[in-house]
Amino acid sequence: MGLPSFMKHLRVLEQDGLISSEKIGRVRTCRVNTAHLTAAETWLSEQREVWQARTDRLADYVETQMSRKIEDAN
Amino acid sequence: MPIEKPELTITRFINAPPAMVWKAWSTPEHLAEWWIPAPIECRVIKLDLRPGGGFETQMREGVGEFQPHVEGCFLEIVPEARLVWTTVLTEEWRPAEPWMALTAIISFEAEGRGTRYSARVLHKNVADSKKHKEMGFQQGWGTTIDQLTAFVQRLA
Repeated sequence: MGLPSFMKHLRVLEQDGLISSEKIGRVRTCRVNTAHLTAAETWLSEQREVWQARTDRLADYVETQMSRKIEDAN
Repeated sequence: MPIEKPELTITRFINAPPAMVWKAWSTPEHLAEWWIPAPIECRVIKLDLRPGGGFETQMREGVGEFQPHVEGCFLEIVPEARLVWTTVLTEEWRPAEPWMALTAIISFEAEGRGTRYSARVLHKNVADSKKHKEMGFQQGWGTTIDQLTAFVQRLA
C-alpha cells in the first residue's frame, strides 16, 4: 500500500473517531481511540448475537413446533 | 481493513421448505412465537406485507404494559423469497428517528429439501453505535486492536 492510500485510510478512521492524530513538523503521530473502537466492535457483535439467536429460534420453531401445530389443526 | 462495515449477515439451513419458513415470518401468530426470546411476550401490531406497509411488534415482560420493540416499513416483498424492511421509515414511507436505525434483508432460498435462510442487517454507521457505549463494553477489544497493530506493523 502506498503512502497516499494509507493516509486516506487513516483519515477515514480519524473521521469516525477511532484514531486521533497530531502532526509535528514532518511527523504525524496517530493514537488508537480504544474506547470508540471497543464500543463499535462490541456493539456490532451484540447485534450479531441477537440476530443469530433470532434465526435459531425461527429454525427451531419451523422444524418442531410449527409442523406440530399444523398437524393438530388438521 | 481492521474496521468492519456496520453490518452483519446470519445464514442458516432450516429443515423445511421456503414456503413454510416464509409462513413463519409472514403470519402474525407464527411470528409472535419466535421473534422475541421467551419469557418475553411478543405482540404483532402490523405486518402489512407490501412496499410501504407497516411492520410493528411490541414486547411485554410479565403482566405489565406492552412496550415498543420494532417499528418499521416494508420496502420489498417477494413471496417465499425475499423480505426487506427498515426502521428509518414507518408505515407509508413516513421518515422516523428510531432508537436503532437498521435495514434488514431477509432471504429464503430452496436448498435440497430445506431452506437456506439469511438475514443481512445494515446499520447506520460506527458513530451511531457510540450511543450504545453506556450499555457496558469493557470487554472484547482485543481482536480489532490486534488487527490494527498487525496492519501498522506490516507498513513499518
